[in-house]
Amino acid sequence: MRIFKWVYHCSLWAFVIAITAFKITWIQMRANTGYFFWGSLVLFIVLSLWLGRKREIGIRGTVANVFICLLYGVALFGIKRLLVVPASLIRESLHMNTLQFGTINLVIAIWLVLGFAVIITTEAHKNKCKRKNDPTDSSEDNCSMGAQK
Amino acid sequence: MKKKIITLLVMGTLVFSLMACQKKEEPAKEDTATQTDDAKTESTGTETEEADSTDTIDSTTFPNITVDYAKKELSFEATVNGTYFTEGTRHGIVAADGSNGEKSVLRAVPKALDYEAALTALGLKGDTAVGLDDMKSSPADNIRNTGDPLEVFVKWDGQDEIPFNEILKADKDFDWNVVVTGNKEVQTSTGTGCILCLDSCAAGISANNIPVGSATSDIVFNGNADVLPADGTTVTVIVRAK
Repeated sequence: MRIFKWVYHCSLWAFVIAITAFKITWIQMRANTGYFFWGSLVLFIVLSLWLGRKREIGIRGTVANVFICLLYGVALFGIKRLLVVPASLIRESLHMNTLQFGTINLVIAIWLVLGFAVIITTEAHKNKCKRKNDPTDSSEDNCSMGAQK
Repeated sequence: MKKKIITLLVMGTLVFSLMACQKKEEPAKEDTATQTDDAKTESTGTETEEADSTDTIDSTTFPNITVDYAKKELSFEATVNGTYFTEGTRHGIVAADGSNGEKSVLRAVPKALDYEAALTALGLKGDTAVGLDDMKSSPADNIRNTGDPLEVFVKWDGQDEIPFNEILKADKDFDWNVVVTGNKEVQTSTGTGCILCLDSCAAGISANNIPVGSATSDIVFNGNADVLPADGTTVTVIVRAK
């Protein structure tokens, strides 16, 4: 779960890097900005697993990260362009120019929403287990997911 | 040991990111160049004969390009890239296999060098007026391509020919005079795939001859979503000698 959470957060940061590169016309006209996404994603994951091995981002951190990254995207491009730019740079990096933006956006949306739901649910469950002081209430069935590292 | 592995992974990632700035390799470039040179020689030699004959349409010599010697025109297929309905670009048409293949309003099926060979076969010439060093200049320097003039049209299912400039929109009025550039050498060495640039250029095979830098620092060009069909639709581009 720790790795999943870092991959989720790193994917948001990688999108921030990639859309920033796309916004800079000089880079956008010369480079495959999709590679910035994949390159940053791998770099952030490696760094996170290395530097963040004893740290975790909780519910508040996750909500803040998603909110700030989305807000940055909207501020940079506006909602209409934000429905094109990430899909466009992913398509370019995959060299699959027949892929429809709608399909890529659907995959991105599923990743964002499901990933967010999984992290929040897991963290909430973990916190609930931590708060339980009564050993009779903290049965293995209720807290087994949160107790696992 | 662990640190070394992590350092190596980080280095690998950096190299991977830097690859984004490298131009695409073209394994068949030499072969393509040779083929197009041969094709050009062959067709240039027979140009007059073919123009006089009844069968003036040639769809075999230049891969994915149909040349009509009698009308002095060529045509090829391209697909719409919806990215530039909202984003700015200085590329009108780029060959899909070029390093700038995803940077243009239309993504062309033929290679840029085959397009150049077809223009040459029609007797059209550029003057290589813009060099790579000129690409750093501003519109105020007024550096322009000044080759033979062209007219460019686009059509698709349900839409008759319309001038290429009508599928564009820009944040200000712009002049539209497409010319042959004569940039074969730079195109061969850079492999950008540029077929039609929206301002004067050192690599594009044809270009709208407003000054170098106009489409990056002065005018923002987009594909016109109100005119063009949806992203991914195939259109036919027609290029005629003016």
